[in-house]
Amino acid sequence: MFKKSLFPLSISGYALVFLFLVASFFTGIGVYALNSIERARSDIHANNLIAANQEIEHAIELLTDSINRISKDISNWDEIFQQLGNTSYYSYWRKLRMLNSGILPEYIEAAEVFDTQGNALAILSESKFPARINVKSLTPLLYSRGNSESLIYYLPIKRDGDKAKLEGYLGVHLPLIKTLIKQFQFHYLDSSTIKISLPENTEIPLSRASSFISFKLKSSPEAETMMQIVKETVIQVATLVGILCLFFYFLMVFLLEKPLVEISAYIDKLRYSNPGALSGGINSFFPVAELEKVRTSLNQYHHKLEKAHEDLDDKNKELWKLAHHDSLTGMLNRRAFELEWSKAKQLLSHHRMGICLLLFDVNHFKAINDSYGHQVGDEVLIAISACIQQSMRKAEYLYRIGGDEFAAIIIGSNVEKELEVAKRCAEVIKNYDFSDLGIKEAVRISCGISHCQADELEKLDKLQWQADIAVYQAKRPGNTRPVLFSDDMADGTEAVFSNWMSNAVYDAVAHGTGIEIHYQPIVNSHSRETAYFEALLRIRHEGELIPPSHIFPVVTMRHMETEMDRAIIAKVLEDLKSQFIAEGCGISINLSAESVAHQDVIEWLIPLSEFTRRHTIVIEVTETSLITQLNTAVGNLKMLGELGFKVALDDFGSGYSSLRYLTSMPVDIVKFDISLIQGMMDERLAKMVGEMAGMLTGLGYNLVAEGIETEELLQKVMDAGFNFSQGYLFGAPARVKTLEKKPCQNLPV
Amino acid sequence: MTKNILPKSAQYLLLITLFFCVNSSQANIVSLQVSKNITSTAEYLTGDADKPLLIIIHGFLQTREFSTVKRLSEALHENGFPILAPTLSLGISNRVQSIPCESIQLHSLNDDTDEIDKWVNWATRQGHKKIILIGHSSGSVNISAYLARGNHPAVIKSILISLTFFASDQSMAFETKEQAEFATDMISRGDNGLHNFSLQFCKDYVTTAENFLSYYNWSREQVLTGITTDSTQKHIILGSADDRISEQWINKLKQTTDHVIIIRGANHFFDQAHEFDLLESVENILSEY
Repeated sequence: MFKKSLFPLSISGYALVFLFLVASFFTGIGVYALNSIERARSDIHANNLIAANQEIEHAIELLTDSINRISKDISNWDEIFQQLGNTSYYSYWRKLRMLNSGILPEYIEAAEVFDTQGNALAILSESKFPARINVKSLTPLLYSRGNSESLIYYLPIKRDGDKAKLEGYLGVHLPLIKTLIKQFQFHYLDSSTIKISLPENTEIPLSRASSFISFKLKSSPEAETMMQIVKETVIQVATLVGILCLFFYFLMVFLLEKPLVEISAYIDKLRYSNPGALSGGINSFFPVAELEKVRTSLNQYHHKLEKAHEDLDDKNKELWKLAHHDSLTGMLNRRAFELEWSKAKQLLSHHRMGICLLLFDVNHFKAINDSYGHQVGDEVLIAISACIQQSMRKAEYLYRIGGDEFAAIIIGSNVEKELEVAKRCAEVIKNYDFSDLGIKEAVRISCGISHCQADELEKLDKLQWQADIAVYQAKRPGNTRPVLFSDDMADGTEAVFSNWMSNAVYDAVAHGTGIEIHYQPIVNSHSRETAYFEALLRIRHEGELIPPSHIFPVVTMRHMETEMDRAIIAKVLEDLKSQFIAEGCGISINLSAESVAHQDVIEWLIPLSEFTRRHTIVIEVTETSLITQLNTAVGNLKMLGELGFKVALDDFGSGYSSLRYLTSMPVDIVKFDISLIQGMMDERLAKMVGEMAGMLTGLGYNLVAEGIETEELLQKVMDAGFNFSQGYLFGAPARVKTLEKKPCQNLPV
Repeated sequence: MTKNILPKSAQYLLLITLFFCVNSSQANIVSLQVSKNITSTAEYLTGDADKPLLIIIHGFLQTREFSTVKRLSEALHENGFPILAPTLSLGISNRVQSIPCESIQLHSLNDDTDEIDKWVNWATRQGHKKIILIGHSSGSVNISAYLARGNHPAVIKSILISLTFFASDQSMAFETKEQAEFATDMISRGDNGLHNFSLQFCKDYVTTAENFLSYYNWSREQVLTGITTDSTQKHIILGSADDRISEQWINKLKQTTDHVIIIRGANHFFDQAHEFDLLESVENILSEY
């Protein structure tokens, strides 16, 4: 396995590898060529050695021929015949004329004339020839004396015109090697190295001379030339290849590596830089078309990416704005509030500063909404939020955290200033002309302020709860001023605003945890037999049962009415499916005004409609829900009626109840409010209730009297005509299987 | 003075024709033992029986092949004359080459005249009753010396071409009086060895004192004496441009004999066109035969 550090190689790395391979290849070629030439040179050397030996032998033959030709040259040389005829002055002639006459070749060192008997014409001490020669054996001899060797050759002397007649002999003496060197050009051997290795005082025939001759070959011109050419060629090619490789290397570096490094560095910058941080792209021009295409494409891509980033950024900003702003008022929304709240907590953990939380709640906004419609309600919210925002200082933002709830987080300020801000806000709203919206009543806000000093940051988590309590206090009738939270406020409202309880209710409603449905019987007033049960919400948290008086304020505060209704429907459905509710027993379920007017309420209740054949299922609605979005509510109730549900009007007589509403609604049962029933101990009220009951009974409604706790009260309602009663006299809401033990009577509807 | 009767171009053509004709004829080389170990050779060309034999003697150290005498012999043979052209041995048996000055000169004037005598006798023995001797340069000196010896009845005439003499004071001759005196001293001392003398055109002339003096002594006076002593008719042909002879010598010769022919412009060897002048002169001399 290759180490990761080696691979992948850079372009220059590959270029170097390529250069190494090329250099190795050409080195191999060069070495191979030199070896081949070396072999060829060895062959040539062997051939040259043969040729050199032949050359030596041929040279000796030529020399022999040359010497033999002397016979012809002297055949007309009168002076030699003069000496043969008259030897008187032979020594003189021999000394001054024989070698200087130009007849004998220059290479002859000494010569001697012999007569036909083989006798030298004169016996001279300095002669290199014997005084007498054996004319019958005149073999050319090579002999060594001292450090020199000499060839002695004997030639017959004959007149040219009379060849048959032998006149005498001419002995010539010459240094063989010197003569060969001087007289002949040798092609294959180095003439300066020719030597003869003849033992001292030895004579050998000339025919054997070549075997004693040694020499050195000339360095083979062809091989040397070829070798030189190859070497020069190899060097030139190596130089050229080296230059080309270097050129190629730098070309690759210039053409490929540099652009690629630039592209790579640019891509790295793209990778590690924030979008938009890089601008301009790669400006260098790349000479390679493909890389230039990559560069331009990358630049274009980068520009598009930047544009996409900008667009995305815009979208993100827009999305953030959408996500963090209230679409109605344009103020920051609850999500932004939570985010800012977290930031504020984080900031204050590092910086010791005080913080104020301002909560604003529109007084009687629900009534405004109900009375003037949602559109007006929305306009009111817009106006109020604008008023509050304009009353605040720069860098102080208003958050819409609920339907008619607004908040502001103020860091580093003091309570007095914020109280002034709150008062200013209230004043601006007070002075705002809402009559343009058709509102005749005065629109007011309640403002609760909670505050935390720089040295009390441990109370930070309770700040929202404290602001809630302060708003709760500010909403008390008769109060028109902002309320600053104080610890004594917590005592009376802890049950409602207890954090754990609030959280338990929220979790139960949101996730269905801890919900228990308790059932309270509604009985026939006369027979006291159970007609049906009212399903009532209870929440059990860590073994403790949270009573409805603590649940509903929280639900209302957090506007979780529909979620609560759906949780109850789900639980009742479970009880029906599990037959916790005995067949034949009727069930009544309370629906909030929000649910009754909700467009999906039919869908939520369809699962229950499957049980309407075996169970009387009553949907209890308050008269408030009938006021709000009356038409929608009426439509929904009619559809429920068609699905087999009964409708009961709850808390009749407690609020804005109107007989007009009653007559226009598809109501089967009318439940009188507990305050009316329990007030029947007063004769006047009892008479009025009795009149109303009589009237409603006459109209065919079943009447249910709530809050029957005594036999006396039961008698009164019976007298008034209430055919059904509900109250602790018959049983408190409980989660017991009494529903099975006490089979329900048919609802008298 | 003889006037040329042929134009130069015709003369050249004739010369070339003669050259080929001669070459085409078979040469007859005869040998003659002239001394104990020396044989001399001569070219013997037969001619008309009624014509005298012409014995042509070459110049100093030359052979019968020397151009002046060779052309002459060939031309005269064409005219029907029998020719005998020996190569004087000059001490070398069967000599065929001219002798370089530097060679050992083992010959004397007496040896030369002896050889001429032997060839004359040989010719006589061959049946030639009339012999005319023709010499060139020192060959003419040899003939004059021979004739001065007398007793040559067959010799009826001699033609001496470029006749000169030894012990000359001419710049072309190197022999000196001092050398002669040295040679004389050598002889008196019994020194028979070789010495490097100068003779004629040879600055280095290695010979014995006796041989040297044999030539040296045949001086102007000896030649003139020889010419006048012998009664044989002698014709002398000289070139006016011969740098080896002086005007004085020419005049001396003219004073000696009436048969002196001067060829104007010819040099010692009668080269080029003067060859024909020489031939014409010789032919005129021989015209009676």
